[in-house]
Amino acid sequence: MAAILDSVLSQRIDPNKVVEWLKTVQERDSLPFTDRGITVQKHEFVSFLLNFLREQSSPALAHHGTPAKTPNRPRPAAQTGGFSDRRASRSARSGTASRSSSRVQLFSPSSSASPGAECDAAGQSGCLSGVSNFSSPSFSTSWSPASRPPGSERRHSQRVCLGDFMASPPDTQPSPFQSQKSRKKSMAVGAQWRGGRGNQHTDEMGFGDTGTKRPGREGGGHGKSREQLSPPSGGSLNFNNLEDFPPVGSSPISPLTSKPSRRINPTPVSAERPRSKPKTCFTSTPFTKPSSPQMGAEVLEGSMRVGSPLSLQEERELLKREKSKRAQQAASPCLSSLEPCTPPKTGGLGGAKVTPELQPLCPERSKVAYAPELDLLAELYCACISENLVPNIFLELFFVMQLLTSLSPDSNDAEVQDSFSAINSDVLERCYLKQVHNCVYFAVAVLENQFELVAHLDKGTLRLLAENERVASFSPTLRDLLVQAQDKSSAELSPSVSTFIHSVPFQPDTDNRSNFGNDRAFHTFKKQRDVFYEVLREWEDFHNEPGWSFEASLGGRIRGMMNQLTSAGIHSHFARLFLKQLVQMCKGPQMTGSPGEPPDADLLGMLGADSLGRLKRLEERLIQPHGIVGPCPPPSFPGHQEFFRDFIQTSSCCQLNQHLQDSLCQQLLQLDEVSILSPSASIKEEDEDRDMEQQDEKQRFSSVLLLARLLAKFLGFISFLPYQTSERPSREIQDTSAALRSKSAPVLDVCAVLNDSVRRRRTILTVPWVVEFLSMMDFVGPLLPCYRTALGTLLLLYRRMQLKRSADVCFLNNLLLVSVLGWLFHIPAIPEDFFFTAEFRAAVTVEDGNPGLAGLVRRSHIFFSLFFCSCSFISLKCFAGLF
Amino acid sequence: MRLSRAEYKDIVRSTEQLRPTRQCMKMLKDRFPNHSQSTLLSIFSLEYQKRTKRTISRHHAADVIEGHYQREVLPKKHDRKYLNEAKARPTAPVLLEMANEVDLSPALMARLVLDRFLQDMKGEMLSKPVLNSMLKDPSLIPDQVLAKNIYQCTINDCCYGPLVDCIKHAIGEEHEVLLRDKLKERNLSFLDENKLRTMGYDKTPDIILEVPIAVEGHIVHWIESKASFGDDHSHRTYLNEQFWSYWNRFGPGLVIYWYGFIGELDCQRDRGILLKDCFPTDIVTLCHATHQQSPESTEGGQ
Repeated sequence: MAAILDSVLSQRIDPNKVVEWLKTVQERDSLPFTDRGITVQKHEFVSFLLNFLREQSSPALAHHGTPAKTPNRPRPAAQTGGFSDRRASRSARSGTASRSSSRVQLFSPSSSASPGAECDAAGQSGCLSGVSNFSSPSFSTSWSPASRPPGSERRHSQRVCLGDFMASPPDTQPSPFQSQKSRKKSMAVGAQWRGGRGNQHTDEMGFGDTGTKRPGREGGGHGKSREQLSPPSGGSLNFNNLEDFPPVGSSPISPLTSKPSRRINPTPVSAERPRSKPKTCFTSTPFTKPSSPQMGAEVLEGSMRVGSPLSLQEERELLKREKSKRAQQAASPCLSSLEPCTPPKTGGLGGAKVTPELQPLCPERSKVAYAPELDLLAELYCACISENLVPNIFLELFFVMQLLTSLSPDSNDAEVQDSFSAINSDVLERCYLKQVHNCVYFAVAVLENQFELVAHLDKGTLRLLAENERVASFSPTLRDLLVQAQDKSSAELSPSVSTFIHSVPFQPDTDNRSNFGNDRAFHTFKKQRDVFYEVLREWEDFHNEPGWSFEASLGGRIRGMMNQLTSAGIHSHFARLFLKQLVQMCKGPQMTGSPGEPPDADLLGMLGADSLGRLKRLEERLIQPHGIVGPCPPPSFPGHQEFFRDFIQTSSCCQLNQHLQDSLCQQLLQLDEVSILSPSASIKEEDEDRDMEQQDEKQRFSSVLLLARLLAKFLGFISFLPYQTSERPSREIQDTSAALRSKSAPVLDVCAVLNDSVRRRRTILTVPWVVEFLSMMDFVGPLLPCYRTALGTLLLLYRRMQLKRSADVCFLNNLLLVSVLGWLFHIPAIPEDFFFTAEFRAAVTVEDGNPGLAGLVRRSHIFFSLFFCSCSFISLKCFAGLF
Repeated sequence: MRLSRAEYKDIVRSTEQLRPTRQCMKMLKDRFPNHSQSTLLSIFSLEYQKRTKRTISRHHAADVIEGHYQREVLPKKHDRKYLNEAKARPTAPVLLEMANEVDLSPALMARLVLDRFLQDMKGEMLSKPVLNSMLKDPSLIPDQVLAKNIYQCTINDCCYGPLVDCIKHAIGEEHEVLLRDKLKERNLSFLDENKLRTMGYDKTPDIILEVPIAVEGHIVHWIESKASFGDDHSHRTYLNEQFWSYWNRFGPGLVIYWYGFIGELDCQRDRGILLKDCFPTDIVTLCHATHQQSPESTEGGQ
């Protein structure tokens, strides 16, 4: 696979041929390379390409800007394209080696690394994933666990980059560097969606680092690393700068640190001193300790920083930054509009020295190197996306947006030289995506190519993109398209509806005395109904209060209820009430977030406000817990669903659970049978009527779909509840458990449901809810034959559902399926190698020659709002943090 | 009448020293001429009940009862002087005066003494129904003087006793009828409590609307009529025992406290319990809404 890329990039093979190969649906999944005698599997190539891009861009996205390699990880001699060579060298390079560091290592392990343990986890990543044992060696760690970034880490990164963004554009020449550095760092943290192994990885590949110096690891202890004198090393970071590196989870930056003392000293500042000290080195509050383990490493890195002698410079830096901030505030409105018209000259560096403060940190099209190669890469990459060869198209989109917003060190000449000099070496070793110019170029190329997909993003994201200066300066055409798409987009995120609870009405048919065995049961249920609502109301009132605990406050009462129910034998009545109430409260579109806050309206509203204020508020939002979600958040129970989940957990009543399961199964299968009308051409009434009818039908379909997803999630939750473990059990335990569990019938025959749905072309309804059900699986679940087969079927569906081939009306249908499936493939419970393993292809036979595989051909049942309701993870929230 | 908590407290303060007598009611009414007599009486009644609850235990103590009883009965039997006096003034409200003297509700005093009297006569505790029937109809009491005293107590008590119970019940009924009439007047179809019971409902508000309405922008499925003043204590009790239970079964609803309530208690509107002191005027029905909307929308179009 490396050979292919190698050949394409060095133009020994016609790229079109490869693209064609990627596009063929035929069984011929492998591409023979006669000239080298290598045969390459398509999925192997894809995972190689994806990892290659990640690797390539890691410096731009990396936070370890330290321009040096660890001595004990010598850069390997130039590689030939051979797979095994490279692989070996990679593993050698990564000191921690591990089975898992194959070429695909960028996608590799340790999604399970907890945020705090990141450094460690990174080191251990190889052994950490029980997954890797389980899979074929060469792909043991093949794809991105990234999807599940540990929450705080992500927040951390988002916060940082947003803050930087606010300050960065008009920064002076020297300070941009600083902010680039920090930004770079933050991006890397953000970029660790590909896995918790960020540190290891960036260390090990210290990519394109110009061999300057590595910040002294010997600096040691956190405490003393503060005020040390900085050697004028390029790109060293100051980790003491709380603004650039806010402590994870800490409360807002203390005013003391963010407002250091300043002295106005009009010493001319030369651009020669770019690696300036960050402003907060010189503060009255000593930096006491890194607030997170993650920062520990950073502080180490920063230990070469030295203090006081430089503090004057720092102050000057500070002053400059302050000034430039003001300049930006004044100038910002016109900035973006000006740029496209006045592309900066290549020789702009000299100018920058003269007027450093007006030099925005701006990727320039003219500085793009390797443009043809980047085009090729983009083409291949887009082919993979278009052909659903990537596990999750939105994850790729997210990556592209990261590239678009990346901040790599502005190429100083030496580095440019260095990277250009690499031309002679292996084409795969060149630094295609190291420079921010290249990243943006590549990102814009991909966005252009995938415009159809991009255009279906929500309005807020489109707006962010359209207003992005980089997009505008690299491709005014794309900008214009985005603006148009934004106007057309109906994909507003509707704020979730009222928070008013509605109760389940008393129905004499099912609830009066005649439905109970005796008076006592009747009266017990009368009381339990009231207790249930009392508990619900109390939860509503208090669950957001700090320190409130469901178990502590309601546990006793709930278990008391269960005892009453058990002694009266009326679980079925309560189960009905419980489910009806669940549906009542949660069937509507639920955005993630608690019911109290109308989540997205707020976020969207901010986009209208003045730029600085809105960024401020955006930032505030983003640092709130759950304020930001990536494109692949783990399954969750937003809003009121949380109550029902906690209730089930707390009551831990097996009778109730059984009744709930029975009822959920029945309702789901009924819903799955609901007729989906295809409005045929037979309707000849006036347009208005037809419109109305279509609207009604869409409404009906949407409510069925949302309801089925809700029920399926809870069915999955209850069914897999007994097997949930917080960590992936060892391989042996998994096997034993799988063997044991495969003997008893699963609660729902998912395979049958799926196959039936495929046959009847109803996947648009069935797949989304099946995905919800499966997303609740425990770690062993995917190993059970029934679910394994179901996953295989879904994977096959996914691969066949290329958006580009969808008729217009079906685009959203397919987009929905592709996104929910892509999301499912990133659920923690799903083995990480799942997507790139080929074993399913034989296992599942879906009738070919069934072009309507993706469901209903003739019309779209999915409309924007439904799409965003169903995939609330793909929204402004997941992208906004990047801008 | 919707009172602010401050107004309400003001009234409560003036009732603290009052006895449950007509004279006292008159005083209260003169003091607050702007408030309706019913509201004042209801507030007083609730307050007086609270006061009684606080103090009743000391009247229930056996020796205290004995004391009352001795004073009332023994003189008649054994003290010739008192008997003579009683005979001389056979209509004198001895028991009523005693009740006022010890600050106990006359009706309750009557009940205590009658109970004690019957114990003496029959030598054993009598069943409550017999006692209640004698209180309702004093002619059943063997001792004529006592019967007269009891009667005086009953009719001079505006807070306790069979007469007051009867009045309260009648007022409650009356307001329910009033409510039904109003609903019929507005052409709103509903199920009343009796109908609901026969259908097997486990909790029954006075009215369930077959088609919900909106009152002041809030949806209303059921209506409960309370011919009393809504103060903190009674409202809390009603919420726990009735209103939330209704909400749990029928959704949001409306409570009418015909004699007013403390305005601050009307804080559950958004949660689905609306308080009013009269039949609402701002009612929107489904047909209303469609009627009103169409002209609006055409206007908007123009």
